[in-house]
Amino acid sequence: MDDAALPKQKDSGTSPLDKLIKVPGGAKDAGIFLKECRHSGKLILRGDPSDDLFIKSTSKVLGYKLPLTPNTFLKNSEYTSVWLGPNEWLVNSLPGDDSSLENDLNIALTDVHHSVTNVSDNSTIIQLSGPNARSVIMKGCAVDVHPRVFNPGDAFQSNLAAASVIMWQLNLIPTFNIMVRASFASYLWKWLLDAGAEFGVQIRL
Amino acid sequence: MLYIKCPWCGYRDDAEFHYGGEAHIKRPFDADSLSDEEFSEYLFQKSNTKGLTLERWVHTSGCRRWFNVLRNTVTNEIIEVYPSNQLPSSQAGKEYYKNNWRRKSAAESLTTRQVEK
Ligand SMILES: [Zn+2]
Repeated sequence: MDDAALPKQKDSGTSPLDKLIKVPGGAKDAGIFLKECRHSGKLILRGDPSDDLFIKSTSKVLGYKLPLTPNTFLKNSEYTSVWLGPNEWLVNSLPGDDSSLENDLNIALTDVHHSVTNVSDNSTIIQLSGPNARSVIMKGCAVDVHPRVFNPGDAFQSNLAAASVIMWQLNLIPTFNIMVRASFASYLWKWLLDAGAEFGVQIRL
Repeated sequence: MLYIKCPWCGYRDDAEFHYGGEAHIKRPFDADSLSDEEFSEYLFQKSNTKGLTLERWVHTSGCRRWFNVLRNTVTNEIIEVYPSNQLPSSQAGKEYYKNNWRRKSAAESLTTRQVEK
């Protein structure tokens, strides 16, 4: 199947967080920064990691081997791959890249038992960073994010303020990407504003 | 509150898990050859022990994988966590498994007969 035959991924230009009044700005010395990563591509990739061909074929497309350590992720400038289960990964790509990546993976894996599901519009990503980011997470999540056990490269799936999330730590600021279902996004955004209020919140575009 | 060790994700709060009932209930291959009474024993009778029990759990909010647990229902102590396609490896788990009434049930002896054939 060539690219032209695929239905164009429709970008409606809206996000589940658009209904909120997200005015950029806030305290200069804010303890946390919030930002929405709009319209990034999200694919659920499944396959057998003990099948060499699966690992080789996916690494040809992604540029690196899928992470096999539970609750970790790997990334390059284009694709972030988060371990979700022993045969399941989330591949997060740049906005607009998802259809071509889906196609590339399916072609590379033609003769390999696998599945690729595009779930881009099912959820959005809220980026939480700043010196007090951990304290905010700790208010709504039982998973330990202390640096002695949780660092850049680590990820987890759990509940944040009772909303089901996939979260991964990008750097030492620290910065966390929080992937949340569209229907929970505005709730979680408001919760983050509330939980972060005592530290000062700055909203970025 | 239970603190459960998922075989993949490690220790997590019990709010992240769902209970899946008794473990090691084998579905009879040839259910037609069981009497109604024997089939209902397979389908409806659960052990519900006071003390050790082998049970299934799923890490719903995490990796969404199923696994088995040996738990003491009185103290809530979790003695062993093991993959869902395996038998317990602790002494207590092995004994509980071996002495469970289900091993002698008509449904299970039928399963064993079928496998041996
Ligand atoms: Zn798990």
